[in-house]
Amino acid sequence: MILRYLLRRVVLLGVTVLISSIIIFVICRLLPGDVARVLLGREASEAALTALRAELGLDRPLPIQYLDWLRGFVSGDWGVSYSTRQLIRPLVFERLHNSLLLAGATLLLAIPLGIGLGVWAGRRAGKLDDTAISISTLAVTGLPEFVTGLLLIDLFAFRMRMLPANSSLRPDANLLEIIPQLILPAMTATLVLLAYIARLTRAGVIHELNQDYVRTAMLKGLAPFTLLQRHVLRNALLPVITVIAISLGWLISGLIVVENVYNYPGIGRLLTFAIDRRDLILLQAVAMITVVIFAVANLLADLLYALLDPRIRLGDETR
Amino acid sequence: MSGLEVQQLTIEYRVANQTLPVVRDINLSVGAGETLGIVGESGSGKSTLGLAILRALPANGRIKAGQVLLDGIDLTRVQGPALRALWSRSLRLVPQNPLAALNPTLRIGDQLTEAIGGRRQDAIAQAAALLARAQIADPMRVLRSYPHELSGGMQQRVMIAMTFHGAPRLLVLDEPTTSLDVTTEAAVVDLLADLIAERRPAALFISHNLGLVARIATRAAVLYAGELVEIAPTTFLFQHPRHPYTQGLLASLPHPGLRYNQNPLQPIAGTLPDPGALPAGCIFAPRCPLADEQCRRERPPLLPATPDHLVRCHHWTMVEPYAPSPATPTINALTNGQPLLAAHRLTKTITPRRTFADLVRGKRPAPMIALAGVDLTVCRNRTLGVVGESGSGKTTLARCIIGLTPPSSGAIELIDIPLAPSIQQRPPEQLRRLQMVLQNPQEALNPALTVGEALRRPLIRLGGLDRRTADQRIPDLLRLVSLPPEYANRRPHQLSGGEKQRVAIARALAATPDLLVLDEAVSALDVSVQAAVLNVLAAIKERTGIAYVFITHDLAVVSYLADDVVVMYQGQIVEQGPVAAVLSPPLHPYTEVLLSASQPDGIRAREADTAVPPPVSGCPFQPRCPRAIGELCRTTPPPWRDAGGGHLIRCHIPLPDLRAAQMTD
Repeated sequence: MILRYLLRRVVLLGVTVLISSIIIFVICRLLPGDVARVLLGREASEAALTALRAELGLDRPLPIQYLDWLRGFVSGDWGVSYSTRQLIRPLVFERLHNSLLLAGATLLLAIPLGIGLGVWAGRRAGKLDDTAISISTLAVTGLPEFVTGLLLIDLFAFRMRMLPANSSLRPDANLLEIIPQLILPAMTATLVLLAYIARLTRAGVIHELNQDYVRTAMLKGLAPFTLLQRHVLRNALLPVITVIAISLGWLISGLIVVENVYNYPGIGRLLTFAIDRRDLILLQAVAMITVVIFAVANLLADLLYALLDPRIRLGDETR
Repeated sequence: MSGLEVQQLTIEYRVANQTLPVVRDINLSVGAGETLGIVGESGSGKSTLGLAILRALPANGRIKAGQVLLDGIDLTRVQGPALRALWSRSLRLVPQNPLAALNPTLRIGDQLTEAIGGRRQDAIAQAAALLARAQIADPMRVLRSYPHELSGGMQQRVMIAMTFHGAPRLLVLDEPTTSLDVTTEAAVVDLLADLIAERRPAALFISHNLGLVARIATRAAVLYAGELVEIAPTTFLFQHPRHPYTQGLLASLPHPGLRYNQNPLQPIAGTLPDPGALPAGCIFAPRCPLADEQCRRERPPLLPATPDHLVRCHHWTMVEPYAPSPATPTINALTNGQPLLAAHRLTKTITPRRTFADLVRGKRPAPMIALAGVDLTVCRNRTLGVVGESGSGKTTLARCIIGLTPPSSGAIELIDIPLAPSIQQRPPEQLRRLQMVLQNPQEALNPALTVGEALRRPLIRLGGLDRRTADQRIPDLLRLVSLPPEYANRRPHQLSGGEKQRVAIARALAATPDLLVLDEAVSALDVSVQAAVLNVLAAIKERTGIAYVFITHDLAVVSYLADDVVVMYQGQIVEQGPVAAVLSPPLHPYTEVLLSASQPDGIRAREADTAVPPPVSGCPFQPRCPRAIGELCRTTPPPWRDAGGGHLIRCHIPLPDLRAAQMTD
């Protein structure tokens, strides 16, 4: 039964990805600029351009091109990058690995900090420290990542000389080398997420503290910490966990600005690189992997919520 | 000394930078094993008082002055770990809404053992024993359940079990049965009385329900606007009230023998004073028929009417109980009425959504039969009461009539015009003729619209008036529900609950409907306000010839207001007829159970075992029926029996036997 539900969700996920693939493909073809011209340069002859288009299959009807590309993508043949002549799949997977590292590092920072600040603010709602936390987290969220990123570089890399400003990982670097390079980008991404997590936690804590069941638990004579973690947080964190799971998609494939500021070799930078070079086939692959990551993150969020809250009704099971 | 002693207790709330003294100068004492009733309407401060005594006020409340002595210890001076130890050992609360009072994401077992403490194995055994003591049939299953998987009555039994672990010394029962059905309420009150007698804590029973207080409490205190106005043994209090407010409460209370057209209820005029601007003298003076200069000038002390009957009134000797002569039961038969609306064989099946837990366990929730073939006739200028417990299908019936829930099968017609099943398919003329008033006026009025704007829309849309004529009609509509015309400029947040409900009624009447469906329309109101709204409804019916379908769980209200009544159980009508014939005396065992729920030693329904599905073929009430006659009830659907004058009963027991049962009991 649970397998059937999962299967359904996976099929739905497949449909989502399929529709996205059409949109991605069409948009990539609508982009201005001719691939052959980009590859061969302004001076290339018309004959050379036509030959290259034929070689790349760009002269065939669009639906055929689409189906061909889709078949390749599903079977694992993602093609060769127009611009670097590298195989695309290993390239994307290497970048994906790096992005996962950065996402993990960010969550390690953002979750304890965001929840901690949110709980503090929620328990002290309306007091001075609550206001201070709310305003300061909101202020740093309001700053664009390239501003916070540059400020952090200035502070930690140039003034204090504690951390590297450049996070372009060496190809065969071991984890010990990587960690210092992860810290600044992860901090920058954390500053974006922090306010969301803190505010949601704060709202949850305030809401739950006013619930009758917290009074019931208090009247059992529980110690304040037990009351907080066993009763209040158990319920207050349900929506927070969902939001974190959803933000996973953004953390893995949406850190375009952060990766560019630090020169970090993740999916986001691969995306800007592909756009830069009019490397359509690479762009399509990166966009597709982004869609898959977002879809999986959303499914994960739904499943987590249903697992954690025994009351959850499965909306699509009616009739 | 043993028991609870409250001395000069004053409690204040901080609201928007203002401190409001919401409870003032309360003195009372409750001995161990005694139950003191605390009676009052919303805003009286009764729940605040209960929470303050337990030291469980919300963060913006504090005890400003006074003492709360429990077995000689002043609870107001205890802090921190000592307070937590007291909470865990001696102080207990049974709250109004058990579902809200249980943690939704913890299993019952975890919540109970946490309160009991000690080794887990022992705690579980003890929890199971407590649940069994609270008359829960299958404790081990309940321990494994989450709160939302239990019925309301079961949830409250869990709370009661949690309350009676160890040796409680002080028990505050804050409207513990208000969210339950009358039949469940009866059983829960019996259980509470039993446990209090056994464990002997000092108990406060807080309730707006005077009848319940009379059943469980030996003495009762009446609170009004944060002050104790009268305290006496319950029998005294209800037979010889000495405070005009208590007298007014009792005169507002529908009870058998009162009829809207013969001896109407006497609601209390005016509204509760604003806690920020209390009157200088007696706080009840602005609403009191006896008030004079002295009352407006000086606050009366608590005066002894008898040694154990104290009353805060200068003129208590002048207070007379409201004792109208009982109404003569007039049975004007259903056949007198001109039919207005008829429903034929209405059914509605609802498939519940599955929870994640259902999915994991591979369960598919059984479809719920909300209506199982209901035939119904509503007559012009008559009130049809629809009664039954929650889940009996009465709200579904109302929604089918209005078209909010299309029936699964069956038809509804309005004097021979068939009505479309869904409200979207009904033309404006049909919408005009059928209107509805909901239970909660808070949610039924758009907070952004003034009263006038809310009334104008149906006048234009359904009444076909132009804007100017519509605006001229608004004052009439407000007067019809006894509100001053100036109220047209107010917004919902400037109205009291009773006033909002009157606006909702006025809005429904704007289109001059032939039929008004009222779904628990007075249930959320305080008794004094409820009485006023009931009288307004009765007056409108006399004046306009409108018909009502009045849905309620409150049989006293039905016996006061309705002309005819249908009794529903699990989606079926089990008895119907003129109200006097159906209710006095009740013949169908289910009607009898409903009516006797308010009596201390009335006949009780057996508790249905949720694990056993109800009989598919026989009488739906059979598993709970105290008069079931055996195999026949289980296997064969009961026949309709005609008691004459439109009075029909669906039961296997022959009429003479049903009548004889009422003579002997």
